[in-house]
Amino acid sequence: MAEHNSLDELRAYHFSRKKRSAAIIAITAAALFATFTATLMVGNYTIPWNEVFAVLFGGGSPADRQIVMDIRLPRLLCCCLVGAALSLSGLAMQSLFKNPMASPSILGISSGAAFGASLAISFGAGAAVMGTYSVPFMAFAFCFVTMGIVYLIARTKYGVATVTLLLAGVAVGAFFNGLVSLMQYIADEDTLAAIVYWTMGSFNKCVWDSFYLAAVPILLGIAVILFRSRELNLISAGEEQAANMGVNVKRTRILIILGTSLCVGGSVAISGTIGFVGLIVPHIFRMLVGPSHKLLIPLCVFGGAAFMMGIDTISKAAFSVSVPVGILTSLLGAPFFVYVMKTKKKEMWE
Amino acid sequence: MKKIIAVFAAIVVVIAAAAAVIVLNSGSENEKGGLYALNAQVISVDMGGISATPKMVESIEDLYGQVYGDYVRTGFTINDAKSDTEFWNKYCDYDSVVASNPDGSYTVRIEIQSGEREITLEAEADAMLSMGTIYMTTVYYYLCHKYSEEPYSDGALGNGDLKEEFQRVIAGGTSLTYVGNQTELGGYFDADQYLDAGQNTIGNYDLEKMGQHVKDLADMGRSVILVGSGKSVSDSSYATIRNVVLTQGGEEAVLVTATDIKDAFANIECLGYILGYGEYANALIEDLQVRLYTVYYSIQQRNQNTEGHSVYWEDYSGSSIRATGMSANIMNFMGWDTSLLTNSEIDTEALLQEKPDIIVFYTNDTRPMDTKMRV
Repeated sequence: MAEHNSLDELRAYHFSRKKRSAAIIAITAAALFATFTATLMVGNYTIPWNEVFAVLFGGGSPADRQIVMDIRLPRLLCCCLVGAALSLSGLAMQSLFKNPMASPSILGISSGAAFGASLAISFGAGAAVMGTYSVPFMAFAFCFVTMGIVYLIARTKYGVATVTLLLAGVAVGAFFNGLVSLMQYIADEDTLAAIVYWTMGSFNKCVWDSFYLAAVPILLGIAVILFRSRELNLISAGEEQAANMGVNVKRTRILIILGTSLCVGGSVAISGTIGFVGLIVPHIFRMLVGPSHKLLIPLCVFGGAAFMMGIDTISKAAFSVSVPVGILTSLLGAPFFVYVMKTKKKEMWE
Repeated sequence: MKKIIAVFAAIVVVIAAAAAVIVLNSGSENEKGGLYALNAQVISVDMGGISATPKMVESIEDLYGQVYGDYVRTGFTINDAKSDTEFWNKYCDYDSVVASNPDGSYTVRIEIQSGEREITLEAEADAMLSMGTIYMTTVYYYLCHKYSEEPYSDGALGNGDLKEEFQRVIAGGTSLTYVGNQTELGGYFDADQYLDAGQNTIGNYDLEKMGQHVKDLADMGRSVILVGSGKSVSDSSYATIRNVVLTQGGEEAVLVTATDIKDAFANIECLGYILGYGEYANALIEDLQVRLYTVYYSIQQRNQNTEGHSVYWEDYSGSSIRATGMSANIMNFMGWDTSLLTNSEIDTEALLQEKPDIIVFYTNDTRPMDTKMRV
């Protein structure tokens, strides 16, 4: 930080920082809007861009309206929700555990969700309560079951240590992964294919119902994390320092984990498990703008949404075969991540 | 010292190589160990034939021929088959899932995950998006019947009219690569004309791509249906899929499920009617039923006063197939013991203990025989 000799200079510096932050957020929001508009024009069904706009303003043929309004639009909105949720969850986990390798799957939540979904796919579990929505319902429910188990394991009479929580998450995640493998092993051909496809992640079955299902928990989760951005800043610098600065670390940790579970639960419920987004997007923005969560949170929300829409559009339209989006997030995301890491000199955790 | 080590290493390598050559070329199969020690009859079956298609009967005939040889008696008629009520009720007396109405429409009973429902087709369709090789195989058999060609023969492949009609009716669907790998029908399609879904199941068919394919065919004046398995399709998914098909100008989404031999006949009849091949479907079904009875009769005679065979049937992954579905139905038809069909890996010790006397592999399982026999 530059040296400031007077209060006015300091104010001017803060004002310029705020302006810069606002500009970065505005640019990312604009990129999100541009990506949304561009991806709305692209798909496996040929519709001229002017027809897409005609449909958006109430015109167009019934066939075009169906594709744009009933298939493409809800799918893109689901991508936005899931991309934002997973990126933000990754950011929260990395900051909470002060671990650059942390991601939404670190607490075993994704593995628990995969097990819940596998139960529904294999045995129709949850169908009596949720009917045709049993798979998203079970995935969502098992996110919270997993979170509860992890928290109970990590809890001691002295409280919950972050490292214990992390290790409990890894253990419980491994346990659920084992159960998913067992389900795959005993499943018949069709069921096995359904489980494997679900674990690869896809927006192919996302319709308006999916969007409505996921919107409430995800927006709630984002809000919870958003309102804890100041505490996250302090915790990521060290829990003791945060406590000294008046942060209720225990409560914040519970709220952040709850927010993350809502985000991950809502996401896996409609799209299956999609890896790497929660790792790559927060790091890219951390490398670009530094560690402030006030800036990182909106950037991860907008950037994650744009990233997911772009990747999903590539996955469905760029190849003769629709590739599950979870495969592409790793195949395209990892090299891009390495590129940013090598070209950006700024230390991501400074 | 280094020289001594080098010479010692060379000797070890030579001895190991010699031992390997001796072991690999060792005398009789029995001496090779592994599953050879069972002295079981090893037979093969076409995986594509274990399905709810007319090919199912060919597979049964093939299995019979490999294990038992000639039939005890031939020359049966459909009346002979019908008069054997135990056979007829168990394998042939199917419930039709299609009914033709006086106004030329068809009522079809389809099946999805939640159960059965009825749909109505205003008229016969002339194009199909086939999500699964079962449905295209069935149509292939109608056409072979129509053009009097032996299925999968050079004559059938060389019959231009048959090929042209097949490609016209099967306008697209299941990934052509998959069709080529899993069936012998790949050579009948021109990839440039085929509307490739790039997927093998209806649930993974991209909805936009599905809509585009239906629209392309409808724009050409074709009356198109989407056909696939409804086993894993939920109510809401079916509603979405059907809505896409109807809105884009298609006729219907016909989802069927077949779990036994009778279901297979019902589906063969259904597809025949709704695609305008009703007369060929009826003749084909009757022919299949007579052939099935011929095998059944011989098996009953041969299995009299003898214990049924104990069979171990392994897929490409080295696991036993599952004791449900069409493969189990075929095993039961043959009167064979299915207790070793656990849909899991069975270790060699357990197999040697259980002593199956027939071991089945798929014809296109490319693993070397010694690997399959666990030597």
